[in-house]
Amino acid sequence: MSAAAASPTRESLCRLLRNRIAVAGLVFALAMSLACAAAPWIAPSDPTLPRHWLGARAPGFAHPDCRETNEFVVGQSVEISARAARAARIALTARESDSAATTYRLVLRRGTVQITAGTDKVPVLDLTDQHAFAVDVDGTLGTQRTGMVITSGQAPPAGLFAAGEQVVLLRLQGSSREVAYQAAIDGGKVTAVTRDGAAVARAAISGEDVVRIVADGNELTVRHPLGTDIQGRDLLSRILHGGRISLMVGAVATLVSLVIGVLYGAISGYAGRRTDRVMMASVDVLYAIPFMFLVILLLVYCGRNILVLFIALGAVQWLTMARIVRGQVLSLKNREFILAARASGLGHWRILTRHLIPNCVGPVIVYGTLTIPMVIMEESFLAFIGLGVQQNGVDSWGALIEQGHANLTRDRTWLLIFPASAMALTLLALNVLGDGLRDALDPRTRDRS
Amino acid sequence: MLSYILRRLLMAPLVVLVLVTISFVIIRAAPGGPFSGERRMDPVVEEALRAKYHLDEPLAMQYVRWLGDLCRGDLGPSYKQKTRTVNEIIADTLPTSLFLGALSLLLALFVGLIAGILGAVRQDRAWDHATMLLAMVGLSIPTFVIGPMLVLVFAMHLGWLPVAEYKGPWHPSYLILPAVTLAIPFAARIARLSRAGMLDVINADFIRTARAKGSPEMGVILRHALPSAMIPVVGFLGPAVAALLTGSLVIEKIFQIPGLGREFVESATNRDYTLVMGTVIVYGLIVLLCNLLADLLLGVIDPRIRYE
Repeated sequence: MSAAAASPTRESLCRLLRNRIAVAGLVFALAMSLACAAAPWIAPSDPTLPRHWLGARAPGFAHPDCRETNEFVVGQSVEISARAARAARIALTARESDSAATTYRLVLRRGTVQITAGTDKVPVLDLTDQHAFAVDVDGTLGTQRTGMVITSGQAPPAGLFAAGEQVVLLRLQGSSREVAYQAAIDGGKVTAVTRDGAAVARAAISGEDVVRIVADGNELTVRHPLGTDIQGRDLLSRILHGGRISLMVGAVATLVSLVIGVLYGAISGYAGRRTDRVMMASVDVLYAIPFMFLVILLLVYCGRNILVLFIALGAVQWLTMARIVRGQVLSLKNREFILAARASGLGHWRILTRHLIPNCVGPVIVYGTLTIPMVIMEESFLAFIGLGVQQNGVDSWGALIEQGHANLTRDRTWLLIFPASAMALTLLALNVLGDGLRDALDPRTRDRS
Repeated sequence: MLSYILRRLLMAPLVVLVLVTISFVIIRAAPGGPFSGERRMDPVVEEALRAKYHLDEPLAMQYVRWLGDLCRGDLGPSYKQKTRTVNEIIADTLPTSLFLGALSLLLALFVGLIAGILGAVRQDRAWDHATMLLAMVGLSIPTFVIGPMLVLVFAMHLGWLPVAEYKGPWHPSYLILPAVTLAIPFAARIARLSRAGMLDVINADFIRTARAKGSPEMGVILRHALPSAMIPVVGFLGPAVAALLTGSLVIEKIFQIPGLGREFVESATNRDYTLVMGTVIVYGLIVLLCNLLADLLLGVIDPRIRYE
């Protein structure tokens, strides 16, 4: 590009586009925002729908698309997942147990394992072709164990006991057989139900027994690319829906801080003299106040309302913006074009809004971009300490990280890693973008922080 | 210098007053009081309780009375921990938090200054780019992500360090993870600031003169450049203390450290109003004191500020 043709704006844009890290940040931030905006299409699973029988399952886990209870009653509307309910014929295979489940207690003592079931000692627990589930303290089923033989008096297979763990409970489902249900549906109402070929009036199958659901010839499964959380909710869907809240808080609170900061700074700089001194002295006073504690107070007393959060976080962040804009206005207000505007009889308000503020756009954009990750971080911080806001039961990223951390064990790391990476990468992207914008708009600051 | 110190000292009480007033307004503006709790109370009992805590007086009187209690250092009883006063709780837990914070700040200063100064001295070399990228990462990843991740790697997978426990200041292995986690964002910030400050002065005339005189490079950097380069770092120390205290809320939760931060978070979620207020005021005073010290230090090393 020839130097003569380049306007300052185009030149800055070119500089930004040459900065590969900043462009990568821009692309990532945009991609993440788009993915969160398109969350219902990318991850159709309901982020708030618990499937307690699943518990935390590893990434890539797939299971039949069913609910906690699935019910067919002749003459009534069908109680099943939304996708299946649209079909005319549903074939459902369920497991019915003939004998009760057994819980084995495995105790690690001096490097060897002792197995008991109730009061009986068990010499060998053979899981080569059976599944057993680890039972958590709270009674939920955890990790699935299979393909191992555990022998009393010998060392346990690797990975069975987590570091420092002394006792493991394993539940082995009793022997079971598969039962086939068929249902015909017309206009949302069930017209006929059969169980193993025999007509019945009603059938209720709990979600954990469902083996397969076929609706109009298509097998319905739900896949969880990033696994499920402790309540069996789809993690990908939770991250993308949570991102909507986090990014929205970031954008709106930044906008609030932008409006306050720009107006305050511009008025202070333009008015000058005593007004300026008083306004900037109050900014100094406010700077010294630890605002996060006041935001916490506000959330505790006013309840966890997303509007309170917008305003509170925005009100914390405007101080630096006001200083930046004031400095900019101070250096602009004696320039010829402002004198010309004043000479032609424009009012103060017009000069401010038409001539001064538009000329501050560069620094405002840069600082605004850097404010977004700061606000997102603050919101997540609040969510992490238990003061997060929920929108229609959806948690923000900070709350997801908190849940991941609270339920963290050696073999449930995805609960923490995925939400944490989503947030960390987005913040990093926004920060490098902000840095790149600053370098592009004012190359002299490249060496400053 | 004297007028500068006086100006700073005069501003501090003003800031305290603003902080305390905002806190008071937030409490009183919120719906419900300490007794509009779970059960409906006998009106006579409630009236007596309100009288006992002076809630029946006009707002201005309550404010003055509350300020008076505050001046005497009385933060009132805790509503939820019935046997302890707020003062006792704070006295029990604050030292732990301060110890952890001081440890982290020292760690951050040590690592950050070395990284930043070396980066500036070898500007645009591989070391410089690597540390600045690391600093960017350290700034972008919140402590409540770094902390659990470090626990996952060093405690759960490698088993080198204990998971989450606190056994007092004399058990360093229990302190490493919390202190490092808390220090990371500050080390990153300090590295960026000290590098920028160093680059500002490293090409100045007086540095060239010092070099021309034949002073060894090490001496030029440490004796002549470093003091000026420290100005942005010292300016950051005031806000850093506020951020350290907020950061320790999370650290104490992650690593189960019995400090004031954990007490604050618990009281905030339990709506233990007096404890929340007392903690905010203590935190506020610490921040103000550190801001004041940082400002004074800044006045000592940067003569321009004194005569502003």
